[in-house]
Amino acid sequence: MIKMISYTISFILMTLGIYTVLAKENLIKKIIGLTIFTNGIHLFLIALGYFQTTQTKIAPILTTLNTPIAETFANPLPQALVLTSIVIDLSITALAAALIIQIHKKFKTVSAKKLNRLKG
Amino acid sequence: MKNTISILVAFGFLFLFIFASTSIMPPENNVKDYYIQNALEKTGSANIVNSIIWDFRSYDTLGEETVLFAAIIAVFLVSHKKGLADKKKV
Amino acid sequence: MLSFFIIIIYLATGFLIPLIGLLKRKNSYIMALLASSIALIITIIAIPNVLFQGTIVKYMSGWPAPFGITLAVDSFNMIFISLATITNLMIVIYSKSRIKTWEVEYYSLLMLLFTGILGILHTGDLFNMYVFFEIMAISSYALVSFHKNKNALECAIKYLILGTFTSSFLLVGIALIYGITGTLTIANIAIIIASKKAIAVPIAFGLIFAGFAFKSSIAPFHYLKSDISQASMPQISAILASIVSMTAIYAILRLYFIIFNQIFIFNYILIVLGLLSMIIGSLMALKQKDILRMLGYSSIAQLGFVVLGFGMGAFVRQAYNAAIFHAINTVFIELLLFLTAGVLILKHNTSSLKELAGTGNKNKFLSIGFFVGAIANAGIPLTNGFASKWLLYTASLQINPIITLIAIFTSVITLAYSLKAYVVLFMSNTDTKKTILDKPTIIIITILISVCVALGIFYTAGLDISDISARSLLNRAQYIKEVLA
Repeated sequence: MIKMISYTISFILMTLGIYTVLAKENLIKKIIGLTIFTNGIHLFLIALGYFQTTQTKIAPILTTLNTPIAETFANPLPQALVLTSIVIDLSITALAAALIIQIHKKFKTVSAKKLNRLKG
Repeated sequence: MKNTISILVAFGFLFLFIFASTSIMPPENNVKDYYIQNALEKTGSANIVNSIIWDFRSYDTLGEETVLFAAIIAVFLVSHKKGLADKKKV
Repeated sequence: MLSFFIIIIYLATGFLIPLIGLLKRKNSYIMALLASSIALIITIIAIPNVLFQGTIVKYMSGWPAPFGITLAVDSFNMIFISLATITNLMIVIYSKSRIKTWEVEYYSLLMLLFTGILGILHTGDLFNMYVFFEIMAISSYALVSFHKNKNALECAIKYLILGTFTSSFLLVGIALIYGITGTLTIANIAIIIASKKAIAVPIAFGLIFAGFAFKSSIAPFHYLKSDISQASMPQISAILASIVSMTAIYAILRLYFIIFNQIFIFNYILIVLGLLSMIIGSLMALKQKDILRMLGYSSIAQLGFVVLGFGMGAFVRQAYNAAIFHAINTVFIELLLFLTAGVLILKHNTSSLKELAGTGNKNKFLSIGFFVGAIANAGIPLTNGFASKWLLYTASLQINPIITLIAIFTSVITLAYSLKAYVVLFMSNTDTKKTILDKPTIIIITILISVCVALGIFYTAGLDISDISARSLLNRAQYIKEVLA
């Protein structure tokens, strides 16, 4: 039950992100929607790794108090994937922000509806 | 009009994801067991996530740094008036 | 693995060009040229290895198969790898005299784009494919906005938002696959999925397909392709239309044939999407008034043929050979068309047909090049387009004559608009001066014309190569055995 609640919250985040990218006109709001969407995916990935057995888990760091038995740790592999994905999304957001600044300088607007020079 | 289509599409995806995630089962032979058991003796790191990023899957980390580098060059390309090597000589 | 050194060379060059280009700008071109030439030589040496050994596998950092990242190259891979290295060398030589400012950023981003392309072509691991796909994507977003005029900036931001949106669906699909199977190596996933009957498997495949399909511009995802072709430089449009689309189609097919082999309805979907791309591409190209948009829609139609071939292959085995051969031909034809038209476009700084009318009158060499490209696009005998299209027609006759009818209809319309573009550009009655071509451009266009005509006359050689690679594409058991051994 807790499993489905965690997954559903991350799916709600993804849905809000998708809605923002599709429905809003302002380019900056679209980029924010994109960030919400990808953060929902990261939450889904980490929750996926956590709920694979029913024991309570601790963070995957080996100290003097615990031994490397596989069942007591949370899954470290999705955490590594999410770290890589966060950096990739950061780079895309930076590039999008730079492009939007240049668009504002040239077009004097950041509304996606007014960018229609390419037609047909 | 655009609002309603976007809401319908977004909620369609929500139900698709919920439907899909009902069948995620814990697999028996998971790769993570190998990582947790062998991280300390084979890579010498106590932090298992670090041993995955820097040793088991270091090729992915190389790719991620390349993405960061390409984005830096791209931001430079888009923002500045002069290029990286645009000086008066040559 | 010898061809892994190509990735290292492109990656190192991409990182070193800003460092060495700071001293002197011309160094960036020399470094890019050196890297591309060495990569082409390594590819030519590596081809016989792959042909003799079957599948070559490399375990990165030495970790055994399901626990580390594996690279796997077989004959199906090798064709696209060689196409990518040849394309890189041609684009670098072509750009020498046409990029006069910001060379450092241009050559660096070009090398990183091809690093991403070759990374996808080599890998045998699902998340690794996503990371290199993002390298390719970010470099292409930056290169589309290169000249920073209004069209390019608008097109780049639209491309970025849509591209990142669909890449995120790819990531959701990868997350679902990891949730079901617990591993990320493609060969290992193939073994585990065969025994699980989960409803999430077709949903995950649909999401992964949507993620790759936007970059490959097949039919319902073709919306931005012509805008991108119009707004970016001709050589960047050539890369995006030819090798980037082929890499995305390669990724979809590799994942389908190894992992998702039991979803048989995907073949029908490929046939329908192929027919849709052919119809939409050719009909929309007919009414364009802008040469780059016309070539963009034309590339959508050619990709429709390739996808149709891969869909029909489940029913007629020869269609796989035809599809791979047509993929090779499409890369060369698109390069020839875009680069030849690009000479005139960059010289006169416009791409609308009305303003470019008759600008190629005095250039006999360019007119021969564009003419060969135009008739090869349509599939006239003696060019390479004819052999692959003829095989596709005969294969489709055995399935349903309607498919043959639509394919021939598309070829006729392709001939119509290609010849219309040729007549407007090269035979109109205007008074123009001759465009002086420098030597590298003449060499490149000569090579492309001779490849097109040679593959048309000696088509049996091309069909044999396609047969070898189709056999290794379908040989799922050997791929899994070699990777997990």
